[in-house]
Amino acid sequence: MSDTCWWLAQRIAALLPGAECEAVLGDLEERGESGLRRLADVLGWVLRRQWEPWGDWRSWVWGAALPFGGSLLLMGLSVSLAQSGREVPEGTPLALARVIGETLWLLGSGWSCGFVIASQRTRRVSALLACLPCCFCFSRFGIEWLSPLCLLLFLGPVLWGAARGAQRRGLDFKVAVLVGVCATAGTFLSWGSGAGRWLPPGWLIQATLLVPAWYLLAYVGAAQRRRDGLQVRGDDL
Amino acid sequence: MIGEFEFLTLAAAARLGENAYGASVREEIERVTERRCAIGALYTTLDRLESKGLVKTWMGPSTAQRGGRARRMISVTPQGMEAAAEFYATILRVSEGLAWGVRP
Repeated sequence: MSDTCWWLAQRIAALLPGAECEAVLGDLEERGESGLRRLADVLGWVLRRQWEPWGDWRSWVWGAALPFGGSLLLMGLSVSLAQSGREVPEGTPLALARVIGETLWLLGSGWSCGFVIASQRTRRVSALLACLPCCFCFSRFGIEWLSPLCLLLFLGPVLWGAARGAQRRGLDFKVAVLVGVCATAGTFLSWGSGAGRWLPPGWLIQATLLVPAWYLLAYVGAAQRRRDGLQVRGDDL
Repeated sequence: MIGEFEFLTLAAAARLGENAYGASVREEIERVTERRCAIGALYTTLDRLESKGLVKTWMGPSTAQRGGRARRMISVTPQGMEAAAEFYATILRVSEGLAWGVRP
């Protein structure tokens, strides 16, 4: 029993950063307490660590509201893009403008959402919160002439941005500008061409998809001015 | 001003000197307070103290007793000493004249 608890404690501790995990497991081993006591210590420590970031309001915005609300809006944008894509063969300039606008919007907003979410320490909870609306919409999808898989078109740019954000390497200011321009241009082109038909009505709601891209741009720009360099760490967000 | 547990951690680390690391500081706190000290509380406090510049930590040597795992060594910085002294002086001031008070 004691060995099993200790084995479990070591597996759970692996959720946390390597150096800290090693130090804490070493401390517990040195004290020579029972496996159950060590497991309780590790559980308390992991829970405390997981809860820690939620004391900051930014975690609630970027770690909870963004993944939940953002995934809903991005799914709407994905379905709109799929529908616009079907209309391209008609060959009208409007259909083409819709596809271009929605593609740029999805790329810019999806990438920035993924980057910002993955830069937070709350990323595991965020991933779960993003999955909930996806599962709900996937189960309720009722457009006969479109595959439910089109709901997940947004996953490409989001996962791309998330992979970049999780690396915690520097983000070039030019990349932030490119993402911001891409998302903004796409949004205005979409609005001008009547795209985004599966998004909730109201420009203010739709424009919330631009917030991560602008936040990223503002943050990287400010950091660049402050540090007089072009690099900013992703985990500083 | 630092908190009570932060003060305890600083005092224990300062008392242990070069032998201050996670397990030894935890034992010292438990010895003086006669209460159990959660390892999560200690490590989150250490992180907080380090971010305030009150302690410095680094990974030390590993030992067989620890299953070959490294220690997180702790050293109190001059700012940490100052913060602890300020906390202690405040406790003395606020306790002065009370039945349980200790005169400096």
